[in-house]
Amino acid sequence: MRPKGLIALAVIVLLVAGLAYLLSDRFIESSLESAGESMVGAKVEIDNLNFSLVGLSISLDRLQVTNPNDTWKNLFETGKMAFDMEAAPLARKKVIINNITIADIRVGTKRATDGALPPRPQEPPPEWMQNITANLKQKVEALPALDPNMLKQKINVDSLMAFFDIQSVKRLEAFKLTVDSTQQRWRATIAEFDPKEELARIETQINELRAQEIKGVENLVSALDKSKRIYDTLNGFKKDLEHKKNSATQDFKQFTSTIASVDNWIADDFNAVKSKANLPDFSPQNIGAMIFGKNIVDQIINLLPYIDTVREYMPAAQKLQQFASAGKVENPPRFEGQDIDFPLQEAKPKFLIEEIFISGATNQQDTSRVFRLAGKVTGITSQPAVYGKPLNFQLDARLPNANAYQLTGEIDHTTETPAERFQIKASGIPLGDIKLPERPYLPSRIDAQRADVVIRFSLVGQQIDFQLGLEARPVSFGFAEHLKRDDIISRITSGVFHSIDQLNLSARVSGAPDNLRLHIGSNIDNVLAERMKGALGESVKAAQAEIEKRLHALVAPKKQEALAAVSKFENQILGEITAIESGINSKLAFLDDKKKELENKIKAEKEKGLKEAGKKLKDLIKN
Amino acid sequence: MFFLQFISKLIKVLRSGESPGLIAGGFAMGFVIGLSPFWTLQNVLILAAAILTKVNLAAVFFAIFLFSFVAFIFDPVFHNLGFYVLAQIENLRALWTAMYNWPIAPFTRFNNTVVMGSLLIALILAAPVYFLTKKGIIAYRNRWAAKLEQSKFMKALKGNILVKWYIKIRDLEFGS
Repeated sequence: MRPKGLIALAVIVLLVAGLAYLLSDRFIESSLESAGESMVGAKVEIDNLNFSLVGLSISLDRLQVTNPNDTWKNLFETGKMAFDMEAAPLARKKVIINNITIADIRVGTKRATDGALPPRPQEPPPEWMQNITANLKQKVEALPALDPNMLKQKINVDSLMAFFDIQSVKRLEAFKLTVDSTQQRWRATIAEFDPKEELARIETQINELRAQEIKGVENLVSALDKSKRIYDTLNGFKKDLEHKKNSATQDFKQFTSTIASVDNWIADDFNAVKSKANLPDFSPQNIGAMIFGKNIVDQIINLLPYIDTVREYMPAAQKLQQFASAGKVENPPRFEGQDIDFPLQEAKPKFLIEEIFISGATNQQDTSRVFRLAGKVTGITSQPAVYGKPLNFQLDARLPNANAYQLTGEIDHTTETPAERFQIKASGIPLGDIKLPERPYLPSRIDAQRADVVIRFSLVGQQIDFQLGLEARPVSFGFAEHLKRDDIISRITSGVFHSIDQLNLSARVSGAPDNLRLHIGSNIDNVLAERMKGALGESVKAAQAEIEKRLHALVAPKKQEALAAVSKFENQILGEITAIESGINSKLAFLDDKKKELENKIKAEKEKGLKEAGKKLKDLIKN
Repeated sequence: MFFLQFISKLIKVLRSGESPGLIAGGFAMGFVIGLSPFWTLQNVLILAAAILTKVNLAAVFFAIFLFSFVAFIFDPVFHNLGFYVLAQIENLRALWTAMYNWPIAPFTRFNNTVVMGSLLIALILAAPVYFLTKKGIIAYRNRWAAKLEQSKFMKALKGNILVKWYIKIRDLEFGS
């Protein structure tokens, strides 16, 4: 043992421990701040973080998270906070916090300094976000506008139809070809399978099984075996035919389902012709979308970057697997090598806060306007698939005079398909003056004093479902001066909007990015649509009716041909299969009778034999 | 300057009366540490053992220095061997999994391909390195030190500027 070595080692250990103690607070503080900033996109500041090695606890005096949309305000700030970390996972560079209580949260507080961060190079948004955004914008842009020219619009239906490529007819022709070729294929299959000759041979074999003419038990048993072999052959045919029948029935069902879509094809053509002719469509659905569509769509588009951030920091299982099963890394940097991960018995994510309890209030000087906040967030983790539970949140906010907000939701990234769902309920909230898109004849703003709002949102993979229900009262509409006109449409719209003091609005945006459906309805729609239709140019209305009539006339014969082909398929293919099936069944029934006869005869012969044997035995005993 | 002092200390070590076993022990410990990435639990423990025991520390640090270069050259070999042992031998999978679940496992970094590959090579070669070094030191002291000093080659070399520098450095430590 080297005494000097012992002293040197002790000095080194003490030096390292002392440095770690002195630098750990600042290191943890800046790590947390920079992690928060990369998520929020604005400054995150922690005051006086203190890390205690005893019990691995962290305390801090204040946490400020800047509102990225208004960097002179905080999204929220907290008072003093303290929480403990689990010790064992730290060895694996994993931070596990069981619970944090934030008892003094304040929302929207002013900042002493600007919380903006230097602009970062913008990465292009992910493909799903680009698709949803582009399609939503396109939906809004495609909405019709109220145009004074439509009152005097003249439409030449002949020239319009002459140059229009009617898809319904083409699709029906293609469909008929498919039905015909499928029918031919089935004909060939049935011709190849049809067991007529085998059935005739089998019938002869069954006829030969005449129980009354067969003598002796041995011959009867041999005949019974033969009947079993015939049964197996027939059963084989039956099973094969059942399989074919199921397949042909599937084809038939597919055909009938396609035929049922023909009316939708015609509707698509009708809309395409209308769009080509620029015919205005004032169905009630379009009125709601024209007025509120842009605002609603903008809200959804503004929401998507937040979901993208969540998906980036809480990657779904698939992304995680990609990291884990990367295989061998060829030529890693010198001395770095490659870490091979093995399954952990108690796998824990790299970062986890199991529960955050939130409570707080704003504006505490004026108790009549105290905005109280309470809620819970569970399962904040960087590896949801490892944690195995979704993130859940529930927040309630309330003002004493009945304004109440409730936010509940779930972020489930535990499987390969990320899913985000949340619901916002707000009652008695002042919406105030809301700017609407400026469109001719339509209001450019709405003032709603109080409203009850329910929003349900879900994004599962790329499937979006946004639902909005809003009841506002009293409401008033305002029109932009520079868009005011003095004509019949203007009189109709201003009359309708000035007579309305309550707004009931429902909206739904749903579907995959390439097939989004936008439906917006309100109590204004029907009233305005009816009055607008009355004022529409007669020629427009007549053109619409003519186009519809001609489309139906063009498509009807093709539809009849397609229906006839499907009917032929049903009668011939399914009919033939059914006929073969009944032939096999009748042979089976006939064979069954013969088998019973043979079995009865065998039984009778056995009983007879036993009696004779008994008699002979008695005779022997007597003699 | 540090490097020159370091070399002169090594020469002192080789020529001094310190036990060849302690020098070879230090050299073998340095060999194990130098061959694998430094910051692992096993390396820190070996270094602590070297500091606490009487093995020659100059030999330890010289070996660390020397074999860090060797490790740099053979890094791809260690990576391939480590990957084979960790990921491709099915029978060892259960052992690695059990070890991976030990609380101290992260500090050993045994699941790193370079750490595993270099550690295996180092452990296999540690004993031969010890014995060869020990024999080499004894042979150097008994036979080669005096012979080398008197050889024509050495005399010719002594005329060389570099060698004069070497002797100056050596005499800084041993001349007085």
